[in-house]
This record gives sequence, structure tokens and C-alpha cells, in this order.
Amino acid sequence: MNETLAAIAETLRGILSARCDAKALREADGGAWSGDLWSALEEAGVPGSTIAEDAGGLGLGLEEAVFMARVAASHAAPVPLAETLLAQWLWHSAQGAQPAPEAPLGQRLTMHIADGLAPVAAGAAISAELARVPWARHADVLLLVIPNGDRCQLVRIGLAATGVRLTPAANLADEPRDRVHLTGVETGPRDVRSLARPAEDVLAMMALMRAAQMVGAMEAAVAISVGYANERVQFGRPLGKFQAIQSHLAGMAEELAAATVALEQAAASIGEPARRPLAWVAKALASESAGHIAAASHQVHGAIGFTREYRLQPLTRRLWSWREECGNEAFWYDKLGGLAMHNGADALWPWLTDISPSSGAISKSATNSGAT
Amino acid sequence: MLPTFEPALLPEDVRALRAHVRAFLAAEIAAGHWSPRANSWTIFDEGFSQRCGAQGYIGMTWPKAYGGRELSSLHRFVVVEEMLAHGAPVGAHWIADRQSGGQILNFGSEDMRRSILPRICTGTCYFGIGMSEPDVGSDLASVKTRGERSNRGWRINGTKVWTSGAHRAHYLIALVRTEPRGESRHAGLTQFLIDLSRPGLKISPIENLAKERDFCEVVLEDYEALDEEVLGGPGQGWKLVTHELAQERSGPERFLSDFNLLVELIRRLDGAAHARKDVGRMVARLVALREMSISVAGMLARGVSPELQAALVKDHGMQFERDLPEEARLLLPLEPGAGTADPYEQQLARTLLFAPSFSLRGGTREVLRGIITRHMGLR
Repeated sequence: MNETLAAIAETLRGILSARCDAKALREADGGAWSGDLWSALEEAGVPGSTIAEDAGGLGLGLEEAVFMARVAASHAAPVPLAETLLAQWLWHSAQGAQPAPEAPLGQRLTMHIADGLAPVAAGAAISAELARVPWARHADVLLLVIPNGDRCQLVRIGLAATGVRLTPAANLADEPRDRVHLTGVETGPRDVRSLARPAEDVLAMMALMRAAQMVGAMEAAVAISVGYANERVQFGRPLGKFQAIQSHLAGMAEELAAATVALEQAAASIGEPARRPLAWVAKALASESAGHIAAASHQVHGAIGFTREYRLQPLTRRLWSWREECGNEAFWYDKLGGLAMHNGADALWPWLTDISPSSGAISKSATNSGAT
Repeated sequence: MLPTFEPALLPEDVRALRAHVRAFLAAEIAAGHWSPRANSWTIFDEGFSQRCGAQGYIGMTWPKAYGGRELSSLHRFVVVEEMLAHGAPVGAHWIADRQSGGQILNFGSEDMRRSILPRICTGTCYFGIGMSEPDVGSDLASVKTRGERSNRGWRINGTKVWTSGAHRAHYLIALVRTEPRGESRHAGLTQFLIDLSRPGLKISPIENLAKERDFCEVVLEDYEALDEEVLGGPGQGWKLVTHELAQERSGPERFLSDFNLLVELIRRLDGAAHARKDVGRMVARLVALREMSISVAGMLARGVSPELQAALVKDHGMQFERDLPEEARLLLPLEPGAGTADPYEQQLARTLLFAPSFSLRGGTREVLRGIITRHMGLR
């Protein structure tokens, strides 16, 4: 881990460990906004850290964003940090019609890819129904991503604007996933930017953020399970002395290690379009492992893990939610398998060696990531 | 508590090396010397090993004085993974290149280094592993083969088993108890270089369930070893064997054994849409496993001994190797058997028959999982 990431981790853990206790998480489950936590994060400059430096941010990249989302999720932090970090970064990498002065995007952000919408002219009014928008009720701005060929349009929508209405909904972890109704919502020239990436890339980045959150939650679930196996005594011995329990824990460690390596290699090469399939791998493996690790954690814990009171469930309910969001493993495996089969049997090995960041700059022969 | 897999960057000149190996292997296949096969690292082909030696692909990390090239373990990693991914018959020189040569280099006498290492490098000197015994598998510290002082050095009696290629190899490195078992199970063990051309040995191949005669029983009856054939000194055996196992557990052979089956599966599927998801799952797992294995190779190159990470890669990798034929048989149903010329059917049959060994060789799943949990902070 490099020094920047280590410093970020220390700051974040200091903020999170005091503010994500059982009481705070229960209140968030009930629909309350975690204002104290968010204020503390803002004071430390975390949510705005991926804003460009010349626009007043820290200019951190997606690799750091992935890491911050992972650490926050290991505490089950009930705030839209992953969404805010990614949306800020995308907004500041996109081109606006009027460059300076920089228009701030917002403070608490959410985003949504609107597959059904056609690109809008600046100043046009937007009407749409958007399902399962993360944290919409607590966000101030929605970044709408509208596919536009090999680019996409980013449209800033103030959630307090006239014509915006929400119907509350939530995922299995009680995180808001609201329905957003837009009826003739007006946009100004500063509200529309053009991003030089296809919408498919943005989906892969959103998926990578969810993968990061799952890795964080799995790290915490494994750590709690090891702790419990050491403490809990049955038949006169700690659970961890039983080979059957050891086997559960080792299996969890293996899947977590694979998901972590997949996440880190995808994050390290997020700027290289030819290595985009690494994000697919990361989300797919994390999603599959999420189910296995949640199940094994509960098995190690016995009945106590099934209670609302115990600290395992905020993690496992998030894992069961996040594995479905931004494409589950079936979705991304299918895409990856389609690519491998399109490339053909004899291309598989060269593709495997080229796709790895360990190979350094990618060679021209490799990696037709646009296929399927 | 949880392991980190630091990312490794392959050296820049590895690209040229990889291209060199690929060209060599393509020419070998084009010349009809062999055809790609799954589990190719147990296929004994002296001619191929000699041609690899001529290319400088064996003992690459060793000093030039002993025939090596003084390249890094990451260079070796690339050569090895190319060989395995192309299903090349590397079995003859495999053990010597992977572990025995390193033991001799690090713990052998100067005479031993000078006489043996250059022959390994030319692909003409082969080794077997003398760890397991009929009554001792996973519980390696309980070996019963005994070495007693004799007037010339040591007299060794006992039986080693599952020694791959012993009937065709020149040497093996054997773990022997040289002092009675005391309070520490790991004390009093010694590694010996055993010269398979000497008297006092009875080597009998054991037919495996795939009807191949690859592994052997080696009976030592008053085998005479010289003092200078002790590796690392009497009583150092456990330390040496642990070092050897770290080399043995982390390499690409722990997830690439049946890569060739995946290649032939994709070829036969010919883009069939129903298979996309399952093929993608196998590819995704390979992407992560390979990165984990490269990370371990990077740690070994830096002189770190990543016992935990190596155990994780091996246990996770062999699970992948075992799952692959099970996925394949559901995607392309057929009745596997002998007498087919179809490469996919051949690889599927071969892989199914060898799969039971994947989770045994180099440490059973149960032993590896014990190592993993010990490192996870279980008390």
C-alpha cells in the first residue's frame, strides 16, 4: 500500500469507527440521514477529494476512490460516498460547454445511467422515470448519464428542482434506492457535459465501486468471523480448533484474496481502456464471493449472527444487495465469456498475459475489449 | 491478519523472452515433436528437455558458473507459464528446475553444484522428490526412513513413495530421520542427495489410475551416502524441506494444469451463446489466480518467503483446476473415453482422470487450509 492510501485509510478509520456503531446503523436503517458522519467526512475533505485540484478538490483519482469506498464499506458506512467520489471524478474529467469558472456539481451525489434517454440539447427539459437511484432522498444532485455513441452526456439535475419527485424504495440493507420521477426538469448550459467514454465504461466504473464496497464488507465479515471463532467455546474448545470451522475460514480467505487482487488490478489500470475487462472480472468475482462469504460467516457464527443486534448483518445485508447492483456475476461473466469466445481459443492465453497490469503497457496485438 | 498480494511488475525484457519461448513452442508443435496436453508437467520427454536446455530455459536463475543465466525468478515464471499454457511435456526436468537444483545451489557442496547443476541446465539430469513414505503423507515430520552413521558416512534404510519419475531420474533428495524423535518433531531430520545409480536401491513404478507408470516406490536398503551428500548439514532437514515446499506450492502449475482443456473447450464451443457465462467465470478466476501467482513470484524474487500466500494460491488454484472439467462436461456433454482423436475429448478424459491428484500433490487441501488458518490469527 502506498503512503497516500495508508494516510487516507487512517483518516477514514478514525472518522468511521466512532460514527458507524450499532445505534448509528440502526437509525440509518430507519431512514435517518447520517448527518454527523457526512459532516465529519466533509471536514476531512473526503467526499470532494476526487474534484480536480484547480476546482478546489484534492485531485485524487479513481484508484484512491476505490480504496476509500472499500474502507468506508468495511464499516458499513450509511452514506453515498462511493457515488459521490465517482460522480465528482466523472464530472471533472468531462468537458463543459463553458469551461471556466468551474460550476460545482454538488455535495451529496448520486448517479444513474439512463439507457432509455436520447442525448439532450443544453437547456432542454427532461422527463423520465428512474428506478433504484442510490441515496436520492439524501442527495442534493443527481448526475444523469445518457449514452451517446462512443461518448456519453453527463447531465446535472438538482434534486430540489421543480419537477423532481421521489418514491422511496430501498435495498436489502435499507440503503435508499429511490424511484425518481422527472417531469419537465429544466437544465441550463452549465448542467450538461460530454464525457469521452462510452456509457458501458461508466457502468464498469460504477461496478468497480460496488466491487470495492463488497471487498471492504467481506474483509470485515472475515475479520469478525475469525474473532468469533477464537472467542466462542463449544465442546470445551474454541470453534477455531475444529477443522471444519478452519476449512470455512480458509475458504473465505481464499475467495477474499482473489476478489481483492481482482479489485486492485482493475483499479490500478482504470485509466487504460484496453484493460477495462479487469473491472468486469472484479465485479463478477466480488459478487460471487459475496454470497459464499456471507453464508460462511453466518455458518461460523451460528444463531447469534442471525440477530439484528449482532454486527455481522449490516455487512451481509449489504453484500446481498451490492452483488446485484451494477450487474451481478451472471451479467459480467456473460460479457467476459462472450469476449473470450469472440477472440477465439488461441487468443485466450495472449489475452490473459496482456490484460495483466504486471505486463506493463499493453501491446497492440491484444485485447479487443469492444467485442461481445 | 489477512494476506496482502503486492502487485509485481514483470521486467521489461520479459517481453522478448516470452516471444522467444512462444516461437520455440510453436516450432516444436509445428514439427510434430508433441501435441499440447493437459497436466503436461508430469509428461516425461527427454528430447524436449534437452531442447529446452539448449535454449537456456532450465536453471535460468542460477549463477552462470553453474550453467545458469542469472535471471530473476520472474523470468523463470514467464518461461514456466508459457510451457504449461501450451501443454508442453516438461516432466523430465520439472522437479530439478523447480526445486532440487535450488536446494543443491543453496545447501549443497561446491562439488555437488559443479557436477550436477550444469547437467540440469542442459536438460540431461533429472530429479525425484523423496518426501512421502507409505505411512507418512501429510504428516511429513513423522518420516521413518532412518540414517545411521557408518564408517564412510551414512547408511540409510527405509521406503519413499509417490516419487514421480524415480525410474527415469538420476537423483532424488530424500528427507531422512538421523536422530531419534525428541521433543521437537522437526528436529533430527536431514536431507540427503541420493544417487539413483548406486546399489542399495530398489525402484518400482506404481501404476496410477490413469494407467500411467509415473510415480514410484523407492526402497533404500543399506544405501551408503557420503558426508558431503548431506544438504545443509545434519539436523537441518525440516528447514530445508519447508523452503523446498514454498517453491513447490506457488507456481503457475497450480492453476494451469488443465488450461489446455479450457482452450479446446472454447474451440469446440464455437461461440455457443449458452456457454458464455460459464466460460466467463473460468476466465475471470484465471485472471485473478494468475495475478496472485505473479505476486507470489515477485515476493520470492525479493527474497520474501510468502508461505501463506503460496498456500492460498495453491488451494484456490487447484480448486479451479478441479472445477474446470466439471464445468466443461456440462457445457459440451459427451461420454469421455479412449480412442478419440478429438483434442477436446482427449483433454477432458485426461483431466478427469488426473483431477484427484490436483488436491493432493504438493500438500493436501486439508494441510494447506491448516496453514492458511494458522496465519489468519486463529489461536
